[in-house]
Amino acid sequence: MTPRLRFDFSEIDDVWRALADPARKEQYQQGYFPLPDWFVADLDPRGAEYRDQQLSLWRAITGRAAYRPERDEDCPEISAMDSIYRPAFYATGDAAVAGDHLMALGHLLKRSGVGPKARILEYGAGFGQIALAFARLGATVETVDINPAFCTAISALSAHYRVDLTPHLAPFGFNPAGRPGAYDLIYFYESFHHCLEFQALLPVLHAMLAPDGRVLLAGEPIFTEASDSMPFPWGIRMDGENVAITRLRGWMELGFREDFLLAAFAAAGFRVTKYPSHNSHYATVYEFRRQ
Amino acid sequence: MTAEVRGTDAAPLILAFPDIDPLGVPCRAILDDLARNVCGAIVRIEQRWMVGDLPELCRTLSDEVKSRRRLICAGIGAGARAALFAGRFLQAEMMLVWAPSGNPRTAGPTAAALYALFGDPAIDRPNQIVHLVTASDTARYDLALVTGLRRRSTGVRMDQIDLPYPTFPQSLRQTGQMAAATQAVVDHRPPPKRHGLADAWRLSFAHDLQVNPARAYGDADGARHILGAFRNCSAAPMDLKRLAEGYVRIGARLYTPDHDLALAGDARAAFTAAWLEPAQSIPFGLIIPPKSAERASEIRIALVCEGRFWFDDMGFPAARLRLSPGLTPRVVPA
Repeated sequence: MTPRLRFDFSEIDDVWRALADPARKEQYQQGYFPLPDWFVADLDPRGAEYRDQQLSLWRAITGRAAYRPERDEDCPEISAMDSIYRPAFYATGDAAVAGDHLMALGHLLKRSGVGPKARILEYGAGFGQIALAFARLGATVETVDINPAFCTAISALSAHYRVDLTPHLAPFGFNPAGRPGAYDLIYFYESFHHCLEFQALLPVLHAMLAPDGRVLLAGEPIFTEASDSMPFPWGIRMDGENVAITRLRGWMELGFREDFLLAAFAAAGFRVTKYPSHNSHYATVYEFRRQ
Repeated sequence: MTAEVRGTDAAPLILAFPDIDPLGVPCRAILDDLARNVCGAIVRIEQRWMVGDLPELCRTLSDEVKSRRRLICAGIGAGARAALFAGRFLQAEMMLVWAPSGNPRTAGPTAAALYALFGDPAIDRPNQIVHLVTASDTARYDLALVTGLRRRSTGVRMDQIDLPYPTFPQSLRQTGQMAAATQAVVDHRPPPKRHGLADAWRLSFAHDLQVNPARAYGDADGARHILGAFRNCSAAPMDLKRLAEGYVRIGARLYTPDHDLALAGDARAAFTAAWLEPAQSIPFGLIIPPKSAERASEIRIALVCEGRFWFDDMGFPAARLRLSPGLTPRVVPA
């Protein structure tokens, strides 16, 4: 077995270049960056000091001064993409990639438990393919995204398909309904891990749900065991690919240890059910219902 | 001033900022309708922004509106930009704006001017909402404009209408869409989703234009006279006086044999009545000037909203009149 590559922060740009080389890509993806010497390992993961240390790690990786989601979570190239006919994974042209995402979409729909009159909210909706599926089933769907181009894309989708799908340009935690208890379903797909303030968000989600409502997560980097690239309860994933993306994009590429995340949801008043998928890790769904 | 210290007058106040038409005239008709059709709120049409200094006006407005517990700023096009500014300055509960990036060339605050004036975070109201309705031709620019102006924590709700911006004053009014959205906001409901507004508009403003070729004739000078009838095919009466106030006329476009657009000339006719019941018609007459008429092989007659759009380009009917090149103009009877 080939030992995992171990990188230094001074090599991030080299790792990024190597990821573009098909011959080296997999090995570099699986390599990792050890935590810097100044990193304190035994802080309380629920506390502000721990969060601030993750921000310091982000600054060390990105070289940027302060994390501002509306700037650092940007994805400028998407405004040039076709939001109706070849959005999101369709644009890759890769059937295996599309298969992963479509399985996740299907599993989210299957576990949603909602009927055609449901009111649904998606945070970090991107091109809104899952939201569109719910809307085409007759639900009232709202999306919240911090990226204007994604909101424009979803607005175009809504007009094209003539469905009850409405984008909102706003940060995590924004409540489009303007009142508590409005949503039958709130879900995240590949977006929860961009939420630095996720611990503050959990009670907000709880309050936004209808009494029988639920939160679903899918496509999230949730790990059952500690590893070199996930050496803490939550934080920036330290594998080669994610550190390189964090440097290049400025995105907050967090990951979570499962035991920590489920305990955080429990503390916010949720009970959890996990629905694994053996075909694609994107399709593993975590369901959180109000206790 | 914050939301908490705003006054206690219960009825919401809607400050409605009209757009400016290409002739520099405020588009009041749609906002007059708003004032008539929104229940439980006071609608005040605020057109002083067109002639004065907007920040100065907002300082004046600040005194005038402080007794209101709920304040909503609304507007279309250039008026929407004014509404965005006033809404932020006055810490309105919501700004309800249609196509704020529309009408960039006419008077009123430009995006750059607004950005320059928006530097003071002290006037931000927490949880302020912007409800943005974009046109089919303004979506991307609208959101960029609002994003540049918004406070970080402001939520922007986005809806898109399948019609271009120039049609908004007419299409929103004739479908009742602007009043419905505003009423919903007043009632603390989300604005109703209205896809297929173009279809709804064609239904609610259904009309027909008939031209009798036997009654089209040329006079001795070469001008061409066309007589016809305009008919209300919708289920509701048409307020032709209000249409005329919105610069809607009956007009003719002339086409050459290769279908290039020729001269429109002065071929316009005003409505000959103020009101038209369903299924009723009124006559009209058009005179095509000689220089235009001699080049034309086809005349299309349709409603036109001056400086904005032709209704037949939006799927409404047009009457077509083919002209024979060899036709000898008939002398106008005395």
